[in-house]
Amino acid sequence: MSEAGTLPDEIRALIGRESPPVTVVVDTEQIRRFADAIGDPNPLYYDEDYARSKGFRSIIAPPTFLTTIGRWPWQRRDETLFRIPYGRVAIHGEQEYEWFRPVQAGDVITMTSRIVDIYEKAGRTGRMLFVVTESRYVNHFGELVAIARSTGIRR
Amino acid sequence: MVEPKLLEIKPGYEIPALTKGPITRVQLAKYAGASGDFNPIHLDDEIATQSGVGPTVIAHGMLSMAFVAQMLTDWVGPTNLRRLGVRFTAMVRPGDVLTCRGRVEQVRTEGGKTQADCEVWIDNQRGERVLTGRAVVDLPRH
Repeated sequence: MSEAGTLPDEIRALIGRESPPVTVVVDTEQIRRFADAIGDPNPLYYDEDYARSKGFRSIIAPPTFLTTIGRWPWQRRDETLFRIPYGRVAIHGEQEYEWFRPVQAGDVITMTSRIVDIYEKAGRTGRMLFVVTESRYVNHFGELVAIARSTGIRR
Repeated sequence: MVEPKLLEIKPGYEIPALTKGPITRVQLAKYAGASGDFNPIHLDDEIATQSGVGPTVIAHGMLSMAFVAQMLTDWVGPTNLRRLGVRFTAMVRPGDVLTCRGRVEQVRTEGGKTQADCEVWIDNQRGERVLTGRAVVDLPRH
């Protein structure tokens, strides 16, 4: 769907740009707060004894908890890296996760993100820019936890 | 109703539906605080309107994705959700009631491991589809 030639070079040049890794210590309260915010009462997200009885090191995080990593101002090392001079509003178009193992309280998770595609399309309200970002999450054992692909739409 | 054992799941099986909401502004504030997504289009009517998504704030797309993930993990357990990809097809606003549904399209067995490919979606109280997606789950032996 890419239409080569219509995108300014400075935007196309962002494809392949990678952010510095963000490392986060996941604690029980972050997980519980997130599970409570989405209204999911699964005891694996709240009850440490129950989660241990099921073979986990501590409580585990709901699958989409990974979205919390890298969002906080002190975790972003360079705001300008993924800044894209296009449109006045950015909305979330698509999101995909592939999960390999659960995130557990006590895990130290490192996220690395990369812009994998940028393309422009004509929509009902004018031209829109699609930005696809891939993030990889690795725990402190060096195990791949999940891969995420996110498509943002700017118009 | 007795749910079929996971290994007896066949194409066409309807995943038990999950209804969430009505979505409140308090929930959007809680989700912002828990996720770190403080984009004002989810919290401030005026900014949402200026940004072209008004006349009210809209819910975080990732909140809807969390709901559809909950439908799947309620069914197979949190560690058996392998893949979920969604598209946000309409905006969700305070007051909306969201019903998550899904259907098994294909069951595959490879190397002793059985997986189901599923179609998933969320409709609001007016029957508008706000999310569509596809999921892959492991069907564990019980």
